[in-house]
Amino acid sequence: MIKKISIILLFSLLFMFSSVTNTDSAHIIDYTITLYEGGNIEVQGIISSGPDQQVTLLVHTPGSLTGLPQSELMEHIAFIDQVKSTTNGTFLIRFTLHPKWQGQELQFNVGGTDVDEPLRKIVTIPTYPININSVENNSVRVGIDVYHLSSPAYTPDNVVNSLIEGGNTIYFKLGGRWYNLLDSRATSAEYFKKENAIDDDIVNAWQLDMWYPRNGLGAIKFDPVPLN
Amino acid sequence: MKKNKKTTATVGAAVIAATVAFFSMTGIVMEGTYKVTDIDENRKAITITVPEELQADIYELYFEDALIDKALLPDGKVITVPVLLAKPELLNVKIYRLREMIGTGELQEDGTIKLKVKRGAVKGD
Repeated sequence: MIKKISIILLFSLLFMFSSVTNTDSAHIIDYTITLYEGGNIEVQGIISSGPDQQVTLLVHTPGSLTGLPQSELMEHIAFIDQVKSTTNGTFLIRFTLHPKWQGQELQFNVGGTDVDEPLRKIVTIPTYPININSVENNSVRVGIDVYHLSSPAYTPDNVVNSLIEGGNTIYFKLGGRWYNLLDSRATSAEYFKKENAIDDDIVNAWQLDMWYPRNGLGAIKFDPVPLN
Repeated sequence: MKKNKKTTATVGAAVIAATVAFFSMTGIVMEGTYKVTDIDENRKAITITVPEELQADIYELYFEDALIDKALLPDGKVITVPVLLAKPELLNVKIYRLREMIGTGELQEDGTIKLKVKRGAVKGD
């Protein structure tokens, strides 16, 4: 299903990029790509035509995708998404790259409504381990798995399965630290002080299975070896 | 007499400069609002509203000094665990316009946000 949607989006995108110039054309003023630990990526920028415009991000292997057979196309695409710009034409897209793109060059193309030419940038994705430090703040460890709280995978069924696999443990990441939500004191906001955080050595030794990031691209398997 | 005039003028200029500096640092106080809604029993969402004349486009939500998450304005929501939103006075926001931080805000129990906005950030200021 996701593949299908991606293909449809891709073709809309290609169509959008090849549209003829018109007098009302917009442009992407600029965008920044920030690479965080664990393949977490943030793309933030501005479209000249202001708020409520469709902005499309396509990330793929460098070079043109035109002419590639459909069967090969998806192998070259790392990420595709479409969002609406907000006040001032600002847009923000955050996602987690699949680990297979580590160490590779990827081309970022940002286009949008009435944009004649996408703004392209090529970046090299650094190598990174997929460990507990890859996990963004505002995520929970439930049993054996970790979910960002905005992940569509954070469903009652999945949570129950994670608990069955990994035992009755729920931790929450805030400010780079993990807090035990099953601690009796965790019913109060006052609990979330540095001194109540779980010791880093304990966290680094956690044996985890899957990481479900915010964008719902699917689960990423943690590296099997704990940090220490 | 001349000297006195000069001294008065110098002191006056210093007072004006200090006043300007003080207001530049403290900024303008404005009011925003926030709303918390239930997602499910394990999650709540928070959205904030700031005065339109700020033209703010992104906000970051902090629990004390720890970043929870950031979202677009208007309407962008931050989803988190309910307990973190239980004491609004421990929450604060930073608001941005075109990547520049233009103000900070402290959430109040009554659903408002006390915003301190940088001088020059308000249209027509």
